[in-house]
Parts: sequence; structure tokens; C-alpha cells
Amino acid sequence: MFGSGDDGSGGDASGLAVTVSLSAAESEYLAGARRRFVRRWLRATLAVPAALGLLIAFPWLARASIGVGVQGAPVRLHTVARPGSSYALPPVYVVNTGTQDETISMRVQRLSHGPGRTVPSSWIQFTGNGMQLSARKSARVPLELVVPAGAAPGKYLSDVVVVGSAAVSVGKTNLGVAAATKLEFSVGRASDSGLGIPPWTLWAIGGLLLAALAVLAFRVSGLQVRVARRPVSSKFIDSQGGYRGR
Amino acid sequence: MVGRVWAVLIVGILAIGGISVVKKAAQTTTIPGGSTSATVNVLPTTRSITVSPGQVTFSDCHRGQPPYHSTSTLLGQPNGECSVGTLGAHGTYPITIDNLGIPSNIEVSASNAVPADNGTRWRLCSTHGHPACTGPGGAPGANEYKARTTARGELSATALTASPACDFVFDPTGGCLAARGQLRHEGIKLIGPTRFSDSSASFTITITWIAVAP
Repeated sequence: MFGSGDDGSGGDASGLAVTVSLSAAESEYLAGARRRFVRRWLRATLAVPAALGLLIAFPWLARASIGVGVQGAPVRLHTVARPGSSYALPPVYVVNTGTQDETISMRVQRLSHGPGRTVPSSWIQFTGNGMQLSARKSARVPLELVVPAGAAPGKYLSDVVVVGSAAVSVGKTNLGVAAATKLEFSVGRASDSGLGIPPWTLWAIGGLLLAALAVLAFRVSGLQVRVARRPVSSKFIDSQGGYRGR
Repeated sequence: MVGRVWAVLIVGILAIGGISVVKKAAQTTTIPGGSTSATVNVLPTTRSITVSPGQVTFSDCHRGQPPYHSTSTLLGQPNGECSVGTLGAHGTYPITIDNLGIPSNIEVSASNAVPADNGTRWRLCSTHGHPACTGPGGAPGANEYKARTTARGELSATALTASPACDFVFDPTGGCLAARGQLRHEGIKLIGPTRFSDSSASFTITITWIAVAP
């Protein structure tokens, strides 16, 4: 099996030359092994610079993050809300502070401490719930407050919670982020607008008062109006008030 | 030969110089009318938080009993344990939580564990909180799990609950107030059920950090 042969080393006189002779099958096997080795070596040699190039070109790949932000100033309704009415709240500023696209969802939840009733989540309607927001992009989301007819009067306090989430992977622990800002408003009594009477009665009462004032002013001014009846016959009344006949 | 090398070098230097001049000229284009624009960066007024990476996988698993003893990456039963990061004094804490915006309280919560086939979930429980774990010695019972976040040294662990609770990693003195730009590195430890009835190969959990007004 083993014998003499040229190993192709160039015949270096100073080195130890070992020559072996291989069968055709063994040579084929060795050639295959060499090709596999070269292929793997090339793959490894190319993979490292390619990965480095990707990380340099797209640095966020090295540290993908999810992030979300919301305005720090509370969301406030500057008028007293009336039961049975709807109000447009100031739009909420939302920003994706992460490095990848996120789905933004919003909800109302009591997280802040302090006095005030908790806002029922059904009272707040979000227009842009579930929207997609690209990395580093922001948006303003309109909110609507719908106060039901039977709402209790008083101050209300809760939080607008903005949740940013990337695509959920099954079998993984998905990390989520959220940011919250306060939501504050007051609800008045249902009868505050008219002392328990319809608004048209205020106009009627106002009109009557104006008429009374006009009559009073007329009397105080001393002006008099005399009303006289024209006689039915041909007689007429002279300037002194007497009758003159023809 | 030497002359040719010099010629090549000189041409190369001139080319690089030419490119630099063109670039500089492009950067200093003047605006007609003599006006200029300037940008001023301001402190953020938003409350914001960033977590990286966005997804993690539990590993470093141990405990359980034959034939369901945990392997290095698979949770066993009863009450197998896995973690994100290698926790301990010299461990690694791979999750970074960064309070980018205005000073805020950082709170954290977790969901129930949802099996891949959307079958019977593992309910999140805690030893001292609500809902309480029903296993022996405060351990999770059947189809229950508990988890906590922790930082280096495990001095300020926070038991995870379904509703947001202070992440004490940010303030070991008992609060969770984070200053602007303050970040923390955290790991997670999970203890699984005494037994689980769903035969899915994986369960999905979502852990959420939230920045709240102090």
C-alpha cells in the first residue's frame, strides 16, 4: 500500500521528505476532503468580513432595540365636561425611540397616584390605535372623550399608556415597552347649564325683563300720550275739545 | 521602475486630494442672499424608554426530576428553572433598559405564558403577592410560573406581576425613579410549574417595562 512517490514539495534537501503512494479510491477521498476543506475555509474567510460589513453598514443590527415615548405634559380638557357630551382632547404626541418598526397601541389605565376618580377606559376613544410607526418616527394621535349621561361629577385622573411592540415570536420571551402620561379632566353636574330649566326659558325671562325696563323708563321720562276717539257724526271736535256742528 | 512607482504614487495622492476638494466644496455651498441656517438641540420633553434586545431566549436551565430533568436550554418539571443571562455576582445581564426621556418611575409587568398551540396557559403567580403560587413552599403549582428581574449581585430583584410594579433595579433603596439617560442591565429568572398539562414545545411570555410619571 505504501511506496515511493513524489509529494510535490519541490524536493527541499533540508527537510524530511515522506512519500506515500495511494490507491485511486484513497486519492479521490483525499481530493474530496481537500475540496471540502478549501470550501469551508473560503466560506469562513468570506463570512467574517461580510458580517462585519453588514454591522458597519447597518449598525442597528448589532443592537436592535424597541422603544416608545409619549409627551411628558398631561393630557387635559380645559373645560368642565358635561354628562352626555363628547369632547376632542388635545392629540397625544407619540414617538418610536427604538431601531425597528413597531405597532403602537394605546389604552387608559390608572397608574398615577393622587386624588380623582379613575377614568373608565370606555370613555376614551383612540383614532390611531394599532398604527405602525417606523424607527425614530413620531405621530400625534387624536383622542375623544365620551362622557356618558350618568357620569358622576368630580375630578378624574388616569394615564394614557402607549405600548410599543415589535413582531411577537412564538417560544421567545418578547420584551415590550410602554410610556404613560397623565389624563386629567373634570365632569360637572348634568343640571349646571340651566339651574334645572331649559335654556329657552332664560331667553324668555330676559325678554320680559327688557320690556319691563322699557315701560319703567317711559313712565319716568314724563311723556304722555292722549288717545281720543273720532265722533261718529259729522260733528268734529275743535282744538279746545268742544263739539261744533254744521 | 522606481520612477514609475513614484508616478503612480503622485497620481494617487493627487486623486485623493481632488476628491477631498470636491467634497469640501459640496459641503460649503453658500445660500444666495447671505442667510444661514442653524439647528439647536433641546432637552427632550417626552417620557420614553428603550429596551434592547427586543427578544430573548431562556437558557441556563436546571432542576426538575427524571424523566423531566431540565437540560441546558429546555425547562423541566417539577419547578424547573431557566434564566436570561447567567445570574450571579460575576454573571451577565443581557437586557438593557434605558430611560431616554424625562425622569420617570420605571415599572415592569409580565403576561401569562401562552403555549404555541394556544392551549392551557401558565398563570403568572408570586410567592407573596397576588395571585399566590399554589405549589409547595410558595413554588408555582400546576400550570403556574413565576419570574423576577434582577441585576448584578441579585440584590434588588423584582417579582414580576401582571400589573406594573416598581422595578427596584433602578433604585435599590425601595423606589424605581430613573433619571434622564439612566440605564440598567438586567437578567430574568423563571421558575416553571410543578407540572404542565399543555404539550406544546414552547411557551411565549411578554415582559413589559413602562415609564410612568413619578
